[in-house]
Amino acid sequence: MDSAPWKTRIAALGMVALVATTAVACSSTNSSSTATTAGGGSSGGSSGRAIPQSAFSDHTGITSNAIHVGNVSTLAIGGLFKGALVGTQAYADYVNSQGGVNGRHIVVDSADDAYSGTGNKQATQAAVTNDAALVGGFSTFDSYGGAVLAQHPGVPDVTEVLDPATNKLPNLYSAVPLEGGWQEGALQYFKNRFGTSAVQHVGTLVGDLPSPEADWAGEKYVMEKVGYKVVYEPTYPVTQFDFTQNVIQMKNLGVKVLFVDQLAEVYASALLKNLVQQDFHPIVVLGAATYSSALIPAAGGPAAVNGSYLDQNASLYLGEDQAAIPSVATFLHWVQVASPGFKPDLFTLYAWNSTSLFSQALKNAGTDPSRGSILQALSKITSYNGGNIVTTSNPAARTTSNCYLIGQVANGQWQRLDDPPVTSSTNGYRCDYQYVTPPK
Amino acid sequence: MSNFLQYTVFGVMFGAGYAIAATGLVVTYTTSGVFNFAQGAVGMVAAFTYWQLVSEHHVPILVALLLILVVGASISGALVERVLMRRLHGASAERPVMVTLGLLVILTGFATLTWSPTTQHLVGDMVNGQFRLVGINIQYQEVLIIGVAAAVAIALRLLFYSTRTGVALRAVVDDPELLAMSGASPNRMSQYGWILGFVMAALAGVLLAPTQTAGLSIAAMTLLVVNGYAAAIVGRLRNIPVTFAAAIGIGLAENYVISYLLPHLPQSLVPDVTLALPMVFLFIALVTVPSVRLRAVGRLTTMRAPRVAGGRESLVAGASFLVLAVVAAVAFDNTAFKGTTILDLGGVVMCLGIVGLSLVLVTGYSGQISLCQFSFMGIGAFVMGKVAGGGSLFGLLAATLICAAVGALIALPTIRLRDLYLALATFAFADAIFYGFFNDTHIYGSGGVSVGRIVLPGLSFGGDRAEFLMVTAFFVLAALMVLAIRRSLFGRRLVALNDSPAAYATVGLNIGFTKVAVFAIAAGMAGLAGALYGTVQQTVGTSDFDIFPGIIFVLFVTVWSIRTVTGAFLAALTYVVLGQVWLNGLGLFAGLGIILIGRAAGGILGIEALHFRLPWVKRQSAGSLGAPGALIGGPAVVGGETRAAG
Amino acid sequence: MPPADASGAGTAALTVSEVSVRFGGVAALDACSLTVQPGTVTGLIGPNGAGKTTLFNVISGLETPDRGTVELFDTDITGMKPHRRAKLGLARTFQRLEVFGSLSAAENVQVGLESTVKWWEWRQLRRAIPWRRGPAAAGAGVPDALAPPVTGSLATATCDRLLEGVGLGGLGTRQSSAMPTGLARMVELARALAIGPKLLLLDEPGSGLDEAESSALGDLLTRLAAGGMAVLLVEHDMELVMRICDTVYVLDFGDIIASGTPDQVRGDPLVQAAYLGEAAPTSEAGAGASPTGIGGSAR
Repeated sequence: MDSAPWKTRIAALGMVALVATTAVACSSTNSSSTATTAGGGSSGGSSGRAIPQSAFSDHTGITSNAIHVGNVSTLAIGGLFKGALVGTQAYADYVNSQGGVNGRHIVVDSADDAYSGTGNKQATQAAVTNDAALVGGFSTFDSYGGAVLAQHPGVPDVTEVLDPATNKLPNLYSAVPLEGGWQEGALQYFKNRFGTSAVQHVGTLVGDLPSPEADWAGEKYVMEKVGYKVVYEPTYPVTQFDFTQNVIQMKNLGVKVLFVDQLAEVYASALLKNLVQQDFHPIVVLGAATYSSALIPAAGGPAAVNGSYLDQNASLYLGEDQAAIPSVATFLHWVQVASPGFKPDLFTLYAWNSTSLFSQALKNAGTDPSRGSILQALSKITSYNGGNIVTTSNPAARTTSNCYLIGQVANGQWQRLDDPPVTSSTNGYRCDYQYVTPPK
Repeated sequence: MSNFLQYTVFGVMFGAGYAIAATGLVVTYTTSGVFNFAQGAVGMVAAFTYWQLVSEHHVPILVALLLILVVGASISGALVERVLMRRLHGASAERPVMVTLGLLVILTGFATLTWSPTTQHLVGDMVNGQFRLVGINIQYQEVLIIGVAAAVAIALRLLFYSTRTGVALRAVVDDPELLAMSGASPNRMSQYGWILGFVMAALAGVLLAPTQTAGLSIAAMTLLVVNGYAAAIVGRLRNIPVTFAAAIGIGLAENYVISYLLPHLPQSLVPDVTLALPMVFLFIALVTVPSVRLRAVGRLTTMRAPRVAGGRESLVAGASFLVLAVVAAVAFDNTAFKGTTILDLGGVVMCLGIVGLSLVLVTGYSGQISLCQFSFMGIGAFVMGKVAGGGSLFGLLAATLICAAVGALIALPTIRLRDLYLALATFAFADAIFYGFFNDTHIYGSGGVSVGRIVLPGLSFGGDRAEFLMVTAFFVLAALMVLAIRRSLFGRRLVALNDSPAAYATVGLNIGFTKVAVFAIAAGMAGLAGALYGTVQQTVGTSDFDIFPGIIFVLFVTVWSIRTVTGAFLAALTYVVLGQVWLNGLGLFAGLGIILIGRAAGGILGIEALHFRLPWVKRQSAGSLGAPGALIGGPAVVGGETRAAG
Repeated sequence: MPPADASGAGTAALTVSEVSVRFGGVAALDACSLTVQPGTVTGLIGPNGAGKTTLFNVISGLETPDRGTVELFDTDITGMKPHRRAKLGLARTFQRLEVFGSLSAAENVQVGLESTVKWWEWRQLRRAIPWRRGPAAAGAGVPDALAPPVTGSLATATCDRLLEGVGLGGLGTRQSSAMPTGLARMVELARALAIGPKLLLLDEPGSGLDEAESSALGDLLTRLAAGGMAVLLVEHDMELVMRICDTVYVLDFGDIIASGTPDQVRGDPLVQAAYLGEAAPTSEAGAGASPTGIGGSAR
C-alpha cells in the first residue's frame, strides 16, 4: 500500500515537475492585488504571523555549538528530490566553512518520506521532536507534514511548499513566495517585441493539475489586461507525452506565440519535438520549469529550441550567470562539495535559498536563539534575493517583486537577452510595471 | 475533410501501437492457454535493454535487435516455460495467471533497481526522417510500426494456419490429446509458444520505445499493453486478424472521439475522458464478445480442502485474537518500528487483513481473480473522507455500499465469460482509476483527502490505541463473517462454482448471479477496509492505491494461502513488515514466493508438514481419506424419496 | 420413427428432433432424433467419439445445436440456459467427473438439494450465525470431521437418504475429490437426484464400478424409472444396458444408426458393424444376441 518506488511512473514525475512550474513562476491563492517593488519594505508582516509564547523558551535542537535542522524530502525513486537535500546541505557546508552562524554549525538531519504521505507525516513529526526547524525540504506530499506543522505553530518551517493550506501557515516562510499573479513587465516586453497582432494569437497547454491551472489563470488574467488574446489553452492529462494533435490544432487556429511556461521540461521537450516534426514554428516562450540542461537534448537538439525565449524570476543559475553573479558561482561550488557530480536543479535552488533565508534569520536571532526568536527574526525579513540568485521577494509578507529575467536560447545555449539593455540599478533583472494578481 | 484525413492517419498510427501489443497477448494465449500478464513487463525490460545497448553503449541498432529479440527474448521465453510453467500442470486454473503476475512484479522490481526512474531514458527513432501526407508530417518510425504490426499479423496468421508447426502450436491448447496422437510433443510446442510470445512482447517494447518522447518509464511501458486488451478481447484472445483490425478500429475511434467530441466538452473533463477511453473500449469489447460456452472439463480438485473452522471455534479464536490485540496495544503504545508507530502499522495490517479476507472470498472460494481490491480501498477511503465530515459510521456504510455497487458494475459485463476476462477487466480498472481518479488532484486534492477518526456519542477513537483496537475488531468481525459465509449455503455454492461451473449450472444454479454477488461483497469489504485505512492514516491520497502494490498483495495472500483466514492475516502482516524493512523488495518477495509455491493450491499453510494441531480442535486422522473404495451397499432404496413423480 | 414405447402414448419426457452440431468442418451430430418416455430407462450406446456426450451437452444446455430442437415435456428448451433447464427437472452426470471436489460428499448433495433456495433470505443467513446453529454444523466443509455434517441444513434427512440410496451411507463427510472414481460417480448421481429430476441423463455411471456395484446401480435405475422418472443412459457396460433399458439408441459418427428394444438392437447388423471397428465392450453382449432382424429404423 505504501507506495513502492516504481509506482511513481512518469505521470507522477511529470506531476512533480509540473507542480514545480508553479513556485518560480508563482501561483496559489492568497492575493492582495498589490505590487511590491524590489527591496520595498512594505508592511513587514507580523500580520497573521502570531508566534506562540512558549516557542521563545523552546530550544529543541539547539546546542551551544550546533543547530539541527530537519530536511524532509522525497529521496526514494532514485532520488526524486535529492536536490532539495543537496541544496540545503550545500548552504550549510558553505556557512559552516565560515564558522557557522553565531558560532553554531548547521547540522542537517535528512529524512526520506519515501514518496508517501504517511512517510512525510512521520518524518515531519520526528523533525518537530528533534530539530530546531524544518529547512529546505521538498515533497509532493507536503500537505501531510503541513498538518503536523499546523499543530506546532512554534516550529519554524523555511521551505517551498505546494499545498495551499500549508502555504498559509504562520510558521511557514518561503524565499520564493507563491503568489498567484504575474509580472506585467514580462508580458509588456513580449508584446513590444513580437508586435500587438502576434499576441492576439496566443496558445498554451496547461497540465491537468490544480497548481498549473491556478498559475495559468493568473498569467492569463495579466495577459488579457495587457492586451493579449488567448486562442488555444487546452488542459492535457499528465500521462500525455505526444502533442502532435495539439500542434495541428494550433496550426489550424493560427497560433503565433506559444507559451510553454505551464509545462515541465519533460512535456516541453516532447512538445518542441512535435513542433519541428509538423513544421510549425510559432514564437516560443519558455518558463522556469523548462530551464534545464536536459531540455535541449530531449527536444532533439538545438534546432528545436534555438530562438525560444525564457521568462523566469531567477538567474541563469545552472552556470551561464556565474561570472556575472557571484552567488551563482558560490551555489554551484558548494553543491559540488555537498554532492560531487550532482547536477543542480530547481529544487536545489529552492533549498539553497531556504537555508540561506534561515541562516539570515538565525543570525538576526542573536547568540541565544530559540524557535520563537528565530520565527520573530524571520517575520522581520522583508527583502530577500540570495545575492541576486533570484529576484527580490518579501518572505515576511509572502509577496514577490515585479522583477523578471528575459533569456533566449541561441546556438543551443541559454543566455540573457539584453535587448534593450537592462539598467544596472536592478541587478541585471528587468523591473518595470507591476506584479499583478487577479482580483478575488 | 483534410482534418478528417489527418485524424484518420493518426488513428491508424495509434491503432498500430495497440495492435503490436495486442497481437503479442494473443500469440501467447493461443499457444499456451495462459494469459501472460507479464507481457508488458517483458516488453518494458526489452525496451530498457535496447536503451542500454543503443543509447548508452552505442551498439548498432540491428545488433541490438538481434541480441534482444533472437537471443534474449527467446532464451527467457524458453526458460520461463521450462522452469515456471511446465510445473503447473494440474494446478488450479488461476495459478498460471498468478505466476505471470509474479513474473510481472519481479520484472518491474528488477527494472526499478536497475534503471533509476529519475534518469531520463530517451530512445531515438530507429529510422529517422518524415514525409508528408494529407497535410501532416508522418515519421518513418511510425510507418515502421504500422508496417511491422501488419507484417507480424499476416505472418502469424500464415504460421498458425498454413504450417504443420503452427497447427500443432494451436492444438497445444485446443486439443492436447489430438496433438499427442499426431506425434508432436506438447511440451515442445508449448515451449515454442512461450518463445514466440516473448519475442512478440520484446518486439512491441522495442518498437514502441521511441514513441515515449518523455523517456522510458517502467510503469508506463509495462502498462502500455493494457491499451491492447480491448482489441485482444474483440479477437477473443485467439484470432490475430480480428485483433489487428480491432486495434486499428479502436485507434480510429479514440482519435475521432478526441478530435471531434472532446472539444465540445468542458475543459476540465477532457483529461479524465481521455484517460477513461481505454476502459470504455474495454467494456464495449467485453459486452460484444459472444458468451463462452460452459465446458465440462473433468478437472478434479485434488487438493485437500482446508478445514473450515466451526462457529464456536471461530468465536473462541476471534476472542483470543482480540485479547492478544489488547495486550499488543498496551505493550506497543508509543513505540515505533523503522520510524512508524507500531500501532499505526498494526492498524494498516488489520485493514489489509480485511482486503485479504475479501480475496479469500472472491478468489479463494469462488476462484475469480480480482486485481483491483486496492482500488476499492481507495474509493472506500475517498467516500469515508467525503461523507459526514470523515469521522462517521455512515462513512463506513457508504464506503461499503458504493464499492459493492462499483464491484457489481465491473463484474456484470464479464459474467457470461470466462474468469480470465474478469481478471482483465479488474486490471484495466485498477489502471484507469489510478490515473483518472486517485492521481487526479482535482478530485483527491494535491494533499489527498483527510479522513477523521470515528467519533461515536460518548466514544472517540482519536487515540492510537483505541483506533488500533477498533480496526482490529472490524478485522475479527470480517473474519467471522467470511467463515460464516463459507459454512453457509452461499459458501457451499461459491466453492461448488469454483470446482465445477458445468455441474453448478446443471444442478439449477445461476452462475452469473453468484459471480456478481460474491464480487460485489468482496468489493464492499475492500471498500470498508479502505475507509478504515483512512481513519488510521487520517489522510489518504494520490499514490496510496496504485495497481502494482495491489497485485503484490494478491500474490502475498496466494503464497500464504488464499483459502484461509489465517492466510489473509499472515499476508497482511508480512506485507506490512517487509514493506517497512525493504519497500523495493516487496515485488521480488511476492514473485519468488509464488514461483516457489508452484502449483500447491493451499500455499504455505497448505503444506502438510507444517501442520500442527490446535489443542481445542478435534481432528480425524487423515487415514480415512485414503481408505480403499467401499462398496455400494446392497440393495439401495431411493426411489420412493425422489420427488419425481413422473 | 422411434419405436412405440411400452408405456404407451402420452407426452414424452424428452424429444430431440433433428439436432446437428458441427465442430469446425466435422459433424459431431448429424440430424439426430430421439425420445425418452417417462417411467423408462433409455440407453444410448455407440463407440467412442460417436457423439454421445455432445448429445448430452446439447440436451443439458452446455452446447448449442446448429440445427434442431430439444423439448422437455413439450417445452422447447433449445436455447435455454442450463440452470433453467435444471429447474424444469433435467439433471445429469458427467463422463469425466464433475464433482465439487473440495466439498464433502454430503455437501455435494446439499448444493443440489438447496438449489431452489435463495441464499439471501433471512432464514438462510441466520443459519450462518454461529450462535444460531447447533455445534454439529461446524462439520460443514470439514471433510474429515466426525460430526454429522448437515444438521443445520434444510434437508438433512433427504441428504442422508440420498447418500444411502446410492450406497454412500456413512461416507457423507469425505471430501469428494479424495474418493475413488466409482464412488465419486455415485456422488454425482446423488447430487443429480437431489434436484428432483423428471429426466435424468447419466453419462457412463457404471465405469469404475465392480460387478456387484454395477448390478446395484442397475437396480437403482430400474426403481427410479418405476417411480416415474425418465432416464437416459450412456453406458459402455453392455450387460447393464441390455438388462435394464427399455429402449436403446445406437449412435455412430453423429448418426443414430439403430434403435429399438435391447434385443432388436443387439441383432442389428449395422450395430455389429459399427462395434466391430471398436474393440471390446460388446463381446459378451453379443453372446446372447438373437438374430431378430432390425427393430428400429436404420438411418
